[in-house]
Amino acid sequence: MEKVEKVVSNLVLFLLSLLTLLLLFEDYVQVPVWLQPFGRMHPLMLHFPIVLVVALVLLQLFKKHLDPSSFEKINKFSLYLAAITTSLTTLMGFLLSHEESTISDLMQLHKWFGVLINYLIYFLILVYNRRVFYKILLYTGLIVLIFTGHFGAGLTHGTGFLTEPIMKNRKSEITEESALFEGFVQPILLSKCEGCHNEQKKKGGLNMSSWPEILKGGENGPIWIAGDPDSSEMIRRSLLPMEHDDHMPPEGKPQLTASELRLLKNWIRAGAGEHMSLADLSPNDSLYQLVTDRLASLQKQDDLPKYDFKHADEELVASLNNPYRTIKQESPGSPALDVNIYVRQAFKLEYLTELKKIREQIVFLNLAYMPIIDENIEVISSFPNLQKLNLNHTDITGKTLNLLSSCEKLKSLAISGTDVDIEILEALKSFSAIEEIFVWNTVLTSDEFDQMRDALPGVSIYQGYSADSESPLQLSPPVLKNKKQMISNDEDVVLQHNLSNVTIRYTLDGSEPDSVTSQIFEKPFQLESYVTVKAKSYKENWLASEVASYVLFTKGFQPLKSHLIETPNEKYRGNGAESLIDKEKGDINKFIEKHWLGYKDSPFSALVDFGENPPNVDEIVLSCGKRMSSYIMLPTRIEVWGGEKKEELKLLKQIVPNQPTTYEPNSEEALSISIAQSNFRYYKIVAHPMKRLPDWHSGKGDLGWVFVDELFFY
Amino acid sequence: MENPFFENRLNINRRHFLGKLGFGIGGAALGSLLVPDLFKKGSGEIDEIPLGLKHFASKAKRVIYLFQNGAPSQLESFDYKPMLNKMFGEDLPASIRMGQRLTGMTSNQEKFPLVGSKFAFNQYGQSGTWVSELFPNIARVVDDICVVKSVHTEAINHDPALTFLQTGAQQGNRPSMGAWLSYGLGSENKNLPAFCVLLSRGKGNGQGVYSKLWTNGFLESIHQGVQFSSGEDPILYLNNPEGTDMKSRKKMLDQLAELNELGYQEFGDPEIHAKIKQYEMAYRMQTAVPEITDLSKEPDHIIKLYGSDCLVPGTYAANCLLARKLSEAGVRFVQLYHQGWDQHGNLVGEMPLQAKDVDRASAALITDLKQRGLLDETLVIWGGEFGRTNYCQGALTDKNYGRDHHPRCFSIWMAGGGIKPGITYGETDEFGYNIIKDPVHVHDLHATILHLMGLNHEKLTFKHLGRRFRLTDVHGKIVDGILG
Repeated sequence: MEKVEKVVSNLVLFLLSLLTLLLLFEDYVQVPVWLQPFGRMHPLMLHFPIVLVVALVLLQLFKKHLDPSSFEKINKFSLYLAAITTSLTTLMGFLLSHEESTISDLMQLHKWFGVLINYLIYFLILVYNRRVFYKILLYTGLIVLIFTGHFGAGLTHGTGFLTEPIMKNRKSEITEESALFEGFVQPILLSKCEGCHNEQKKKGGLNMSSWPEILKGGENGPIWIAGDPDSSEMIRRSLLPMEHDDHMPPEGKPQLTASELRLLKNWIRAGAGEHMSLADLSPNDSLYQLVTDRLASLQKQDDLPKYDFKHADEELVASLNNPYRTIKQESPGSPALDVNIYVRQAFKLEYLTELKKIREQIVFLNLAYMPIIDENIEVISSFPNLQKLNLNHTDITGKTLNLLSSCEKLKSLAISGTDVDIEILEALKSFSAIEEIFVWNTVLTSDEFDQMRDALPGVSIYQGYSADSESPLQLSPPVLKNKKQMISNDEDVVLQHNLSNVTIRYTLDGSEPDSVTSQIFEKPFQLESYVTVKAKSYKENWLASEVASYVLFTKGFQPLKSHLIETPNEKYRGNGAESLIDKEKGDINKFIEKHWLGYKDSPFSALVDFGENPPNVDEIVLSCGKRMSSYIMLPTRIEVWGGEKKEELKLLKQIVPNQPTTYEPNSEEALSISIAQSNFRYYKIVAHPMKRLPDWHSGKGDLGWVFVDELFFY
Repeated sequence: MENPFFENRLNINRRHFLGKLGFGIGGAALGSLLVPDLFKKGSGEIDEIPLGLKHFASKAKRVIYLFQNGAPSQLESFDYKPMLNKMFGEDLPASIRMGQRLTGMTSNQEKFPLVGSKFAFNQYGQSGTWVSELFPNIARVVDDICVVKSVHTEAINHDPALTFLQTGAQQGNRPSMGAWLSYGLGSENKNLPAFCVLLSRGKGNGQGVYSKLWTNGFLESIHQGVQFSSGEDPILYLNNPEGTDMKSRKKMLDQLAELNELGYQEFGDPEIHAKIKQYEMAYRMQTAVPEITDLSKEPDHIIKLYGSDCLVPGTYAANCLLARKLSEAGVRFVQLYHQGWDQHGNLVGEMPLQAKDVDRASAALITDLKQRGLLDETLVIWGGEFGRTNYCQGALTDKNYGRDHHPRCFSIWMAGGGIKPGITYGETDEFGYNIIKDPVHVHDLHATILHLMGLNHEKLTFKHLGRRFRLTDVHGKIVDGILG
C-alpha cells in the first residue's frame, strides 16, 4: 500500500510541476490538434474532483461514526483519487482554454482558482498526518472548489444562469410602450444566443449581451444589416440546414422557433433601431401583428392561475382513472387536477374516498347526480385546494355542509336539485372564499333567497328559473304513437302525451276538437276507413295545445294493376305506376324519394284495373303533397272516370279542391272524391296542376306542380 | 407479433414517431431541443403536449352547437336594418353588391328589390341588443350572450357552406369540428361518445343533413359523431337482443375482444383496437344512456322552461334538453341541427314557425346551464351556414317575400365558456350586405372555438396523405374581441 501511495503522490507532483511549467510559459504554448480532444474532456473529468472533495469533507464530518481502520483506508483512497483527477482536470482545462481566441476575466478567475485547488490537494497529501492543518486546508479547498465550479458554470451557461429563475420573475414589465428591442428581440437573443456569445465566452468574437456589444459584431462583421434581413448574417445562419457547420444556434442547442425567427426578420426589415417601438409601426405591419400577438400571450400567462402545491405522482393519477372517474390535469404544466365522476348506477364510495391520495391537487370536483350523502361530505372537506364543487342532484340535505369551510379556496358551489334548506346559510357564512352558489330547484323560497343575499354580500346566488312568474304556457299537441299513416286492419290507434295528467280530446269527422263535447281519448281505437284524426291536449294551469291533425288510411280495396296515362316529369318518376298502389306513403319533405310522382307540364292521369271481380267503391282518395315554397300545390281540378272497358270510360265526378290563399306549412293532403256506389273494373283519375301560381306566391305566374304518392279506394 | 414490420407501418404516425424517437438514438439531440422549451414559460411551444390534454388553461370544457340548418335570415333575427324598410322595392345599388356572385335561383332575376324586416325590432337587456320580435325568449337572455353580426363564409350553396362550417373545408371528408375536439381533448365521460349529434326538423323549407357533416374524416373512427335518433331507442342497436342479459352480453363481448385481439396480432391494424374500445364503450353506454335519456326525473318547471315540446322526442326542444343532459354528463361536443330555415319564398309565413320552434328552447338551454353553474364550462353556439340577401327573391308583395343565400355576412350568437356576455360584435353596412367592422371568417370562428376549449388551432394537427391537416387549414385568427 505504501508503495502505491508513493507512486501516486509522485505522479501528482509530476502533473503539478507540468502544469506549473505550462503556466509559466503559457504564451509560447501551442496545443496540437491531436491533444484537443483531451482538453475537451475537461467538462467530463471535472465531476470527479468535485464529488471526491465533497466526499472527503463528509468523511471528516462523520469520522466519529466510522470504524477507524476503514475510515483510514477510505479517506486515503479518496484523497489520492481526488488528487489525481484534480491534476488531470486542471491540465485538461488548461488545454481547453487555449482553444479560445480571447480569454475573458471569468475564464481567468476559473483558471487560477482551478490551479489553486490543484496545489491545495497536493498539500493535503503532504500534511495528511497533521490533523489541524489538514482540516483547515480541506475546508479552504471546498470553498475554492465551489467558486471554481460556479465560475466554470458561468462560462458554459452564462453568468446569470444560477439566479436566472429568480431574476426572471422580477423582469421589467413589458408593455405596449416598451422598445421592441428590449421587450421582444433581446429576450430571444438572451435565451437562444447569449449562452455562447457573452462577455466571457465570445464565440466567433461575438458578444450579444448588450446593444453596443451586438453592434460591434463578431469575426464575420455585423450580425445584421438594418432593413435587409436576407443579407443579415444572423438570419442567414439560422436558415441554413441543421447539418451545416455555420448553422446557428448550433445543432443540439435550443433552436429559434418559427415565430421568433419571423419576429427577428421583421424587426430587421423594419430598421432594427434600438428605441423603435410599437408606436412607430403601422397596425398593418406584420411586425406589429407579431408583437401584439406576443404581448397578448404574455398577458395571458399573467392571468393563469398559480398554485403553490406540488404535482401529484403521474402514475398514481393514471391508476386512479377508470371508466367512471376521469382525472385530468387542468392544463399542461399545472399541478391542479379536475375530477369528474359519472354514471350513478356504477358509483362506488371508493371512487370518492380514493381521491384522498390526491387531496392536495384537486381543484375541481364534479359529483353531480351521484348518490352522495351527508356523511360523504367529510371526504370532500379534506381537499384543501378545492375551488369548484358540483353537488347538483346528489342526495345531500346540507346538514354537513359546514365541514366544507375547511376548503379555504372554495369559490363555487353548485347544490341545485338537492334537499338543502335555509339551514345551509350558517354553513355558507363560514366559507371564506365563496363567490357563487347555485341553489336552483330546492325548497328555498324567494324570501329565503333574499335572506341569503343579505347574509352573504358579494356572493352571487343563483336562484334559477321558476315557472311561478310566468303566465300559463301552451301545451304541446298530442302525438300519434303509430309510426305509419297506413293502419292495418286490427291495428290500434294510440294518441299520447308525455306530460302526466294531460287530457287528450279528439274528433274523427274533421271538426275541431273542443274542451267540452269532444271525445276524451281513454283507450286505443281501430279504424274502418280512412279518417282525419284531430286532437288537442288539455291540462290544468296550461293553455290548450294547438290542434294536431293526422290523416290515417286503411288499406281499402286493392286494385290489381295501375297504369300511368301521362308520364311524370323525368325528375320525379318514383317507382312508376306501382307507387300509386303500393300502400307506401311518402313524406313531402323528402319529395325526391321514390314514393312521389311529380307533374307540371301535363296533368296527372292514371288508370287502375280491379280485374274480373271489382268491389263496390263509393269513395276515392287521392293523396297529394303540398310544399308551396317548392311550387308544389294542390291540383286545381280532379276528375274521376269509370267504366267496364278502358276505351269506354265515362266521367263520374269532378271536384275543385279549396286552394290556400297564403303560404301554409308543408303537408300531405288526402283529397276525397265521393261517387255513387259503383263496381266498375276500370277507374281513371286525372289531377290538373296549377296553370298560374297566384299573385301572393313568390313564383307568381309560373306553373305549379302536382305531387301524388298514393290512391285509395273505399 | 407475427408481422411486426406491417404493424409498425400501420401504427406510425407523427406523434408516435416523435415519441419513440425521443427515447431512441436521436433522444439526446431531440431532448435537448425540446426540453428547454417545454419547461420554459412563454415560449409557446406545445408541439409535444400529449393528446387528450388542453394546450393551455381555459374555461370551456364542452360545446353545444345549435346549428340552424338552411340559414336563418340575419335581417329578421339580430341584424336590424331600418334602411331596408325605407327603401322597400328599390333596386340594390351595384356599388353595394360589388359583383357578388349569385345562386342559380336569382341569377336571372332582372331586379334586386330591397326589402326590410316585416317583424319589429326592439332593444333588450342592459346591453341594449337589438332582437326581432320573433325571438322573445332569446331577447330575455341577451345579457348572457354575445351576438356576432359579422360572420362571413366562402360558399354560396347549402351543402358546401354547411360542410365548410362543420369541417373547415367545402369539399367534405375532412373531420368535423366535434371530431377534432374529441381527438384533441378526448372524452370526459368514457361511458358516452365524445361527439353526439341530434336532429330535428321545423315546418319551413328544409335542406338535408347527412353523416358526412359529423364524420371523423381521416381521424380514428372513435371520433365520429354518434347520431341519436328520436325513436324509443335514442341510440340504435344499443339494447341487448331479446333473451340476452347483461352478464352473458358481457361474456360475449369479452370473447369477441379476444378474437379481435387475435385479428390485431395478425394484421396489426390499429382500427381493430378502436373497434374493441367501441364495443367496450357501447357496453358501458347501456347503463349510462338510460340515465341520460330518462326525462321522468326532470321537474315540472324544467318542462315549462323548455316548453312542453321538449317531451316530444325528435323536436328541437327535446334535443336542447337532451343536449343539456349529455353535456352535463361530460359529452365534449353536442351538435344539434334544426332543419327548415331556407326561406327563399314565404319568409313571412315560415320564419315565425321556425323561430317558435327554437326560441324558447335555445334560451332555456342558457338559463338551465346557468342555474346549474355549468354555463361558464359550456360554450353554446347558435347559427346557420350563411346569411340571406337584403333583396327579395321572386315576387315582392306587401305581405310576403323571400330571401336568397348571402355569404358576405350573417349573424350568430355564442354564450358561456369564456365568451364575453352581453355584447354585440361586428357591424354590417346599413344595407345589411357588407361587413364594415370586425369581420369574422368561418376559419376565425373555428380558431376561436378551439381557443376557448384550450387548444391552439395551429398545433392541433393530424398528418394524413403527407401533410399536416388542421381544422383551420392554413388560416384562422382568434377573435379576441369576444373573449371574456
